Amino acid sequence: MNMEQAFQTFLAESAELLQDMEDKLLGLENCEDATESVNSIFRAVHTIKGSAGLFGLDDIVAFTHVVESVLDDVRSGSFVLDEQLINLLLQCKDYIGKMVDSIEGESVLMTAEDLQLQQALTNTLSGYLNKVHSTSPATMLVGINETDDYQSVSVIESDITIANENWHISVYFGVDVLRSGMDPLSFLRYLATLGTIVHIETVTDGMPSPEDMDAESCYLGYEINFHSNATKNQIEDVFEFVRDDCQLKILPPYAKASEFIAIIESIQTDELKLGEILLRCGTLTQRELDDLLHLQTSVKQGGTHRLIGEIVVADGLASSEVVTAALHKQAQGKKAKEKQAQTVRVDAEKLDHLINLIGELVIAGAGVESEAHLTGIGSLKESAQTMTRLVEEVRESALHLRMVQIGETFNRFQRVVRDVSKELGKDIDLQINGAETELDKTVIEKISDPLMHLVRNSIDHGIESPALRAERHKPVTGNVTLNAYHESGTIVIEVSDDGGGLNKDKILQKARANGLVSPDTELSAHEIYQLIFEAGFSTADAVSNISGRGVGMDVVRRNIEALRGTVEIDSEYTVGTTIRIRLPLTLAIIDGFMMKVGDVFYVLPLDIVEECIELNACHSEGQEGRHYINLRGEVLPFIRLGDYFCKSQRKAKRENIVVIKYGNLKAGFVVDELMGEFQTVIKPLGPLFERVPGISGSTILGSGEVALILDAASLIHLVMQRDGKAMSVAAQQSALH
Amino acid sequence: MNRSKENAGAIFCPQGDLTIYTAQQQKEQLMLAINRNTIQINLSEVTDMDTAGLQLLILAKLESLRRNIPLIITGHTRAVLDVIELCNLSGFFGDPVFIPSDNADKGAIS
Repeated sequence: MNMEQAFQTFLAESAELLQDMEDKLLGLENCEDATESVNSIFRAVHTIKGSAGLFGLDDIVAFTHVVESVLDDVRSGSFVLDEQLINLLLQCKDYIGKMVDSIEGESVLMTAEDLQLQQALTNTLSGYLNKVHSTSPATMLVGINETDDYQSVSVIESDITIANENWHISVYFGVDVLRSGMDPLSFLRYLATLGTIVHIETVTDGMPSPEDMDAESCYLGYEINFHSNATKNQIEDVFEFVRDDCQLKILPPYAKASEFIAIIESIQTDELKLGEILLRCGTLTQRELDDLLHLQTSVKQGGTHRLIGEIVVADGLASSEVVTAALHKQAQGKKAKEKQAQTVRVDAEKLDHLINLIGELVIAGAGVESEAHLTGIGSLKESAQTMTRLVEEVRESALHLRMVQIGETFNRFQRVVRDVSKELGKDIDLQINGAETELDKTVIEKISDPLMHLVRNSIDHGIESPALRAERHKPVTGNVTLNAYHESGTIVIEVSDDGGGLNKDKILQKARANGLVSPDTELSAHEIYQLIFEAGFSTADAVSNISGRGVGMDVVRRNIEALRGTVEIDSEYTVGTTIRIRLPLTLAIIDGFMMKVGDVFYVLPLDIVEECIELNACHSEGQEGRHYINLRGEVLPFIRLGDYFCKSQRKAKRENIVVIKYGNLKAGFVVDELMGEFQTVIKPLGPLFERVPGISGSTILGSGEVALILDAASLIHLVMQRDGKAMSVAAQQSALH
Repeated sequence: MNRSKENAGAIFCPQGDLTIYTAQQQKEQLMLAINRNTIQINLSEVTDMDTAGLQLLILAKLESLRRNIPLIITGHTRAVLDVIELCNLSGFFGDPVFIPSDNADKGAIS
């Protein structure tokens, strides 16, 4: 990997890490495992710092260093992450992102304004650092200045870090170990297979006088300086069988002094002697031992048992801390490798190319199958079918490659909600449902902006001010919910709020004033709501810098329609609003249902087809000119595709009606012939026919003929418009049954 | 048991395995070997030693230190040396040991 590639990876990785950092920060307030979150935030900053150092980006290193130091203090429990600090860290995260974006060659070009911000942030951060050091005098005593020399990755610790690159294992066996048939020596021999025992000290202090000594009891303990690349778990497993029956402490490389103190204190032996044992083991240097004893004494003399308490707590938490520390030195490289093994970064272009090829393969496969059918050779037909099945599976998994969970996009809104609500002085919670719902990556990218607009709208216009909410007897905290789920071949994304809802009368009034609606037209509630998607329409009394200019919703609608999706609104005044976006699952290949009218083939997405029935004489009897049938007691409006598209007058002997369901609307399409399921590769129609209503694309059949892909959404709306309001109301009612 | 009752000092001379299975009896034998002047142990007949056995040697050493009398251990076998080296106790016992030619490593210090 050359430097340029490495640099690209650095950029991508930084973006990911920062995103992760933001998610974790936002999640902290209602998070169960805060320690783990803090650790991963720390790791994010630490990794960026390390990588930036690699590229000689000193400015980033300097800034991240300060952030990291503060985080490290948080990690060691010096102070808690309160809301204020979270806000500060979020700002820092933004600023780091900005720095990474402004990298120009080997330097970071920031504007004077940004530098001021940096100064401000650094000052606030140092405020935290100073505070810590002044509140723990015991720490001050041992001097922080010496620690930095030990590690190349320098971290300002509030605790001394011991400069030992080996593990230290302290194990004291229980009295009954020998009687249970276990021999401590065998554990030591096994341990030696995991790495090198650099030095071992047998602690014999537990040995009683000869008269009291029971030859079948075990009195020994060991202090071991152990060099190994094994993980803490692996080392722990060595002692698995005696785990409950021994006092085992495993300190990672570069452990904290406090952890050594904990060992010294927990072991019933002469403190000085144990210190010397550690010294002999090579675990501690003489100076470190002196510092350690000094630290310990100063804590005791200070009369404050606070720090000792902390040490005990730290001891209890040792496993997570150990993991973190170990990650830093040893596991880091390993972890990166593991991660690489789990995911592969692929150029989006390559993926698109693959999908295109598979599209062609599907078409070619269909050709082979129809040819095979014509030959009538049984074995050939069978082979062709097997191939078709395999092609189908390949297609399925190729499309899955592009599928991404929507959760990540949703999570990005946490920050928006937090920032905007603060700006507006509202208290708003964002709830996320269906985060695991998957959809095409391209769709996700394109839906992100419209969603952002809708969320901002909900916060700004939807949720009322706290005063008004109180007046309406609602909880002061407003709720914005993002929801995603699959429904009949489409994905539905909902943005709901429990805010003020839409004021129908006001919208209608405004629409009439703007001339969007003629004064004497009566509109259903649903139609009135759709008005807000019209260009230049805004009911907001005041235009804020967030929304209200009447541009947004129009753009939202157009963006969504460009994705062959639809958007609709449910709302109740003073209760809340739900905006529902319906999108096709994927843009490239669909399972289609093929039909024929005259000589023309049409394809509908299979998932929206409910059923097919024969349109017989009794259906149309006495209903000339009216376009609906009685489908088991429901009113079903229908459209003759032949009439709509080509006006072919030739009536087929038998006609079929295909019932489709889109959202809560149902309609029938009358066709001549049903051809059945068909894998459809959607080809765009080209600019000339792009605007033809009712058609969303074309596809090429195995025979080389072209089939048109119907746009169910716009056709249904055509049906509704044609039949007028009365019909649509009836249809809606029937759909409810 | 090859234990003589001479005044000069009895010798604790365990045979076979110096392990948990026989530790109790061997401790008694060892106690008998402790007299006013020395503690003598001959390990030449030891075929295997485990922690319990090692503890007996440690007990003897601690007792010799307490009473300020010499502890003389002779005839270290391979099995014994392995354990003593594993636990890094050669210095602790401080005996001159015979280093087998096939093992040129650290281990024994006099």
